[in-house]
Order: sequence, then structure tokens, then C-alpha cells
Amino acid sequence: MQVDVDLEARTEVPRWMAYGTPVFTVLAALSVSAVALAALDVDPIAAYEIMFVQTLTTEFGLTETIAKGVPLIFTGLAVYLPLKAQLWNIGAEGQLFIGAVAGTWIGLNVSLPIFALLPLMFVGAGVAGALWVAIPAWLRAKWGINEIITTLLFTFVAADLKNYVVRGPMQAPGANFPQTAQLPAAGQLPVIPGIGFPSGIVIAVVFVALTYLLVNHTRLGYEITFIGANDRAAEQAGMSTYRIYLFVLMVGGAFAGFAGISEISGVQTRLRAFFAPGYGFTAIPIALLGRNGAFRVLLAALFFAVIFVGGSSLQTLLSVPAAIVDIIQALIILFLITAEFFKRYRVSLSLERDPGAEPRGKRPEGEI
Amino acid sequence: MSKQILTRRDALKAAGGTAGILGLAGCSGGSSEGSSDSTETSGSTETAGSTATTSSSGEEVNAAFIYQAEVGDVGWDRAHEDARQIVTEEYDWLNTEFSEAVAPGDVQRVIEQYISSGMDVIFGTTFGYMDPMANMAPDYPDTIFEHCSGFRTEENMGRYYGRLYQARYLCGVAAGLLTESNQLGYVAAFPIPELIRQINAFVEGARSVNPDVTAEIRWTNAWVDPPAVTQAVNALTSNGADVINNHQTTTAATQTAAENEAWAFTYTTSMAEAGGDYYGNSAVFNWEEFYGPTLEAIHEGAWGSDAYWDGLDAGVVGLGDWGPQIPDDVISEVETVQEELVSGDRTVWQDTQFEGESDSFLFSEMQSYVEGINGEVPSS
Repeated sequence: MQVDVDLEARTEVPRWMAYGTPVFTVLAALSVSAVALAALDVDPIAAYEIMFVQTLTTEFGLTETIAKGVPLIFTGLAVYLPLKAQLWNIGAEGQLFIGAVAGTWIGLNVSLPIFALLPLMFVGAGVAGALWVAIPAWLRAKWGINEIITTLLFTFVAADLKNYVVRGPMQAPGANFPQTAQLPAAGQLPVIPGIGFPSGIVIAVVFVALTYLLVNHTRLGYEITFIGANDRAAEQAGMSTYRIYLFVLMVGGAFAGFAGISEISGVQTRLRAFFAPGYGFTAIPIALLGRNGAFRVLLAALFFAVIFVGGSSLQTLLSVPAAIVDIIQALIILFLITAEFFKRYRVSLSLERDPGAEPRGKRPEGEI
Repeated sequence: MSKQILTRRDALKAAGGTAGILGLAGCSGGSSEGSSDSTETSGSTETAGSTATTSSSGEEVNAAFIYQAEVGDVGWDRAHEDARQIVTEEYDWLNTEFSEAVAPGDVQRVIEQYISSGMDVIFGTTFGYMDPMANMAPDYPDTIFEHCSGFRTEENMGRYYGRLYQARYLCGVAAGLLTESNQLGYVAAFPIPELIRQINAFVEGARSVNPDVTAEIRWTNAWVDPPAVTQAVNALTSNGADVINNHQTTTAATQTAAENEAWAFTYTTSMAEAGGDYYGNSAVFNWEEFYGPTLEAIHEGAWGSDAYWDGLDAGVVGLGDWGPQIPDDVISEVETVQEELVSGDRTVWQDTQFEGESDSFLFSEMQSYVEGINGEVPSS
């Protein structure tokens, strides 16, 4: 007996599938995770109620979700935009570090009122992130050198650079701890008056909207998508992949830089040697889930924020070990990514019965 | 351990469904913006032993411990977790909870949740929690904050650490007696004062009994990087070191040293299994010697914010069990030195450039090697 697996790209995704799969896959992931929770004598329903309902219905949960979501939205866009041109920006974490370094430097060394200092920090962080990815971008655009490798390796360089500056030029005076001084109040992102949400979310949503307009409503965006779909055809149609590749990666780098400074300015208040939030890597599944539009990136980033915030609540409130929380989060992500695959491809299994055939994996005797 | 559920003002309705299952342990009148009255806790107690009141004399105490890494078999967080279990066992008026793998950027959220669920005292056990805790403390005046390894305090936030370098010194004495090549190797994570202090003390201990000893240091720039540690140990032993010490949250150094037939010393918890016949000892934390008295003071309403930095005399640091092949005369020599350190007849820094330096210097400014260590502290 032989099982044949056939993959066929779907030309059209049925509506029920587009909306139903995320829900069903999350539910499926949660039911698998329930086994682990039940094994620890934790009531899965109570756990999920804390993880999702409380996170989404309390002021505390929403505030924290948004705070966590801001850098994830930025890094999500940092991976999303290059992905539109079929480039993989795996090094958003490194661009985030560089953005954090540049933005923190401005915050510590430039003395301006808050309404001028904060925008300047963001601009500095964005420019730094864009320049950081410019070399891999140029290598890709000019010589076709794989950007997955180069952007990733640049992350390690960025991490060392960050570790250097907090022990050297940017170290807080007075004590030998590897960290900068604290940002002045004018360099810290305030909360939105009245509702208490971190103001970074406003900037993040603005850039989501701008990205949406860019990709869906401009000539440039059309070229990006076209090149992503078929770069050779695009070249033949007179489009410049060189220009687009540089553009999408550098704008992506700027977004990652925004993520870095929004986290330092909004949450951490100073740059420390051990700052390595991993948002640049989490951004990859976020961009995969949100690949069909900037607003989906926003939703995916907020969803990840919910499972991070809700997951840590499981620890504090139900004493669920961190490893189990990791498993739940990983299962949700794994199931969602898998569902994406099934949404894009039709899989058909067929069983073939051939009484004469040898069992698979066993070479017929006499054959070499 | 009691199971508690977050029940903020807005969440009461939503939580209603599960409160019956889990036990409604405390409800906060606070808001996440951190208004100063945000820690009134009115405790209703369905779950046995989780009275959520603010600390006052004779009441139950609810304490939360927060760790940066996942608690493994060995290492920094393990030492704190062991102590948490010891004190939880010891005091029937004490309830404890813990969270692991909490990044400094997330700790504020975790602390807020603990406070709303009725915790009276928060122990934060990594340097990176210092700013968030110090920033939160004034907003939660009824909660006690205790931060390990930092330098900031507030009226309701103390800090604590152990003089582990004293135990390192004792390991050094043993190393100085054990070495035949007179070369020691040391694999360390980051060139910050805490690590330099311990390296210096280890080498000083060795040179106090064997002035010919020299030491070579390798930096990995990571707390956990077993391949880098293994490489570093291989390099050190092939350069002639026959005693290896390390400052890493992994058993890799101990194991590789033993494989290369070099004596292996380590820190925070015992790593005897990894060292086998070549295991020396470990400079360990006995954090229960801090947590116990501190929690008792909280229980009795006698707690005050201070900067705790005790050592061998308080028992908060010490040596673990000796490896199976360490000669008895080495052990007894180390015990003699330990008595001298505790009685004050000997100090770790005597006859070094650091003799007579203040605690503040030792804690946050030590940035050079003592004599006998090859090379310089990596410049910053």
C-alpha cells in the first residue's frame, strides 16, 4: 500500500476557511495544551479564562497587551514589508538593537523638550536601523547574496556593538554596571492621558496605516508586490529590483529601529547589556500570519502580545511552570502556521493498493 | 501552595466564574497607573491559608519570588528557589509563589499582578529588576520590595546580596593547595565588578597558601553558552591550568574540566555530579539565611529597608560538599581559613590594592585584577 500526498496551490481560499481556520486552529492548540495543564492539576478552562478573557477584558490586561504589542507591531512590519518583495528580514532583532542604541544616545545627549526630543529619538533610531540593514540590502540587491544569512549574522554584530557601548561610550557614570544612565523624563514615552495606554501604540498604528497605503495604494507598493510575485517578470516589465530591494529592507530596518526605541523609551527607560527582547524573531511568525496585509500584521502582533501577557499570568496566578507556558505559546504558533499552509494548498491523500509492489523502504533483492 | 486568581476591579465579573474553583484570594482597589493608594487589599479567604492582608504583626505573609531564568537543576535561580522551598516549609504563616523566565521588561506587570492577588512582599532576584522595582515601590507603599544584587533602595524597598567572594576565597585556598602546575583557569561571563571581585578573591585565596600561583581568565560574554565555555576550558587546560573555576550558569565548565583531568570548582549550587572524581567544591548561596530572618521581621512587623550584604559569618554564603578525592588536609586547611575569615583574623583583601576599600567600592567599582592574574580586565 502506498500513500500519495498531492499538494495543489489553492487559487481561491474559501471564505469559511479564511475566517474559520485561525479560530479552529487556536482551539485545537488549546485542547492539546489542555493535556499538559491537566497533567499538572491545573483546570484548563480556568487557565484559558485567565490567559484570554482576563487579558482582554481588564484594564490591566489591555494596557499590558498594548505595551507588549507596540514593539511587536513595529518588528512585524519590519519583516512584513520585505516579505512583500519576497525578501526575508531575519535580522530585525539586530536592527532593533541598533535603533535602541541610537535612540537612547539621542535621548541622553540631546536636551530638548519632550515634543521635539521623542520624535528626534524615533527618527534617529529609524535611520540607524535602516543604515544597519543597508549593507545586507545592498549585497542582496546588487549581488544576489542571500539576505536571510546576512541579516541574521548582522544581528550578532549588532548585539556585540550594543554590549560594547553600554560598557564603554554610553556607560552610566559612577558605577561599573553595563548599562546607560536613565533617559530623562522628556525622553520617555508618556501614557495616553485618560485611558492610560502606552502612547507608542498611536505611533505604531500610524505606521501600520502608512504601510497599508504604501503597499496597497501606491505605484511603489504595486512594484513591491509584483517583484514579490515574480521578480523576473518585473525586471522585464522595466521595474528595478535593485531599487525595491534596497527600499523594502531599509524601511523594514527603520521599523525595527522604531521597535527598539519604543521599548527603551516606553518600557525599559535605559539600555542595558542584557537587553535582548527577541521581538525581532517573534516578528517572523507575526509577518507570516499577517502576510496578507499590514492590518493583519497589527492583529497578529496584538494576538502574540495577548498570549505573552496571558501566558505570564498563568505563572503568577496559577503557578503554571514557565516551560508549560512556552509549550502552550509554541503550540498556538505552530498550529496557526500549519493552518496557513493548509489554507494556501489543497492537500489530497490517495491510497494506492498494489499487491505486487514491495513494501516501501525495502530495496528489492538483486537491485543495486 | 495556594492558588490565586487575579481579580482587579474590572475583572471581578469576568473572574466570577472561576472564583469558585480557584479561591478568591484578594481584590485590589488599585489601578495599573500606579496611584498611591493602589494596594489596599481586602482579603476574603476561601482557600486555606491565603489571607490577603498587608503585612502586620502576627499575620500571614504572602511572598512572591521572581526569577529571570527558568529554574534549572543548578545555578543562580536554583539557589533562590531552594531557599524559597526551605522557608516555605519552615513557616506555617508563610505562603509563597514564584514566577520564572521573567524578563526585566516584563517584571512590572508580574509584580502588579502579584500585588493585586494579595502578595505582601516581592523578592526580585536579578539585577535587571532594579529599576522597575525602585520605580514601582513608591506607588505601592504597603508592599515590601526586596531586590537582589542591585544598588537602589526605597523606603519600602531593601536590597540584598551575599559576599560570595568570601566563599570563592576558600575555594581559592583549596585550589592553591591542589594545583601542581601552579596555574589556575577561570571562565567568567561579563567583566562587571561582581565577577571581578570573585575572580580576585579566588586567586587571592590560592596565593595566600601558594604565592607561586598565577591565573588566566577567559570571558564568554554570556551567562549560558556551553560550547563557548567548553572551548574556554579546553584552552585553559591545554595552557597548563590544572584547576578550573567558573562563573557561568551551566555545568559545562565543571564537566569539561573533569574530562581534562583538572580540578573543577564552581559556584551558586553544587555541581558534584558534573565534576565526578575531579570535583572540588562550590561557593554556594544559602539564601534561606537571608529570606528566613527577613520574612520573620516582616511577619513581626519589624521590617525596615536596608542594604544587606553579609557573608560567611551570617551563613548566607558558604561552601558545598567536597568532591570525593579532595585530601583531608586540604579540607582542614580550608576550614581553618574559614574560621579566620569569620573571626576577622584574616580578610580577603589584606595585602592587595583593595585593602581597606569601602563596601561601596568593592560592590560597584572594582575593575582591576589582583596580582597573579595574567592580562587586564577587558577594557570598557
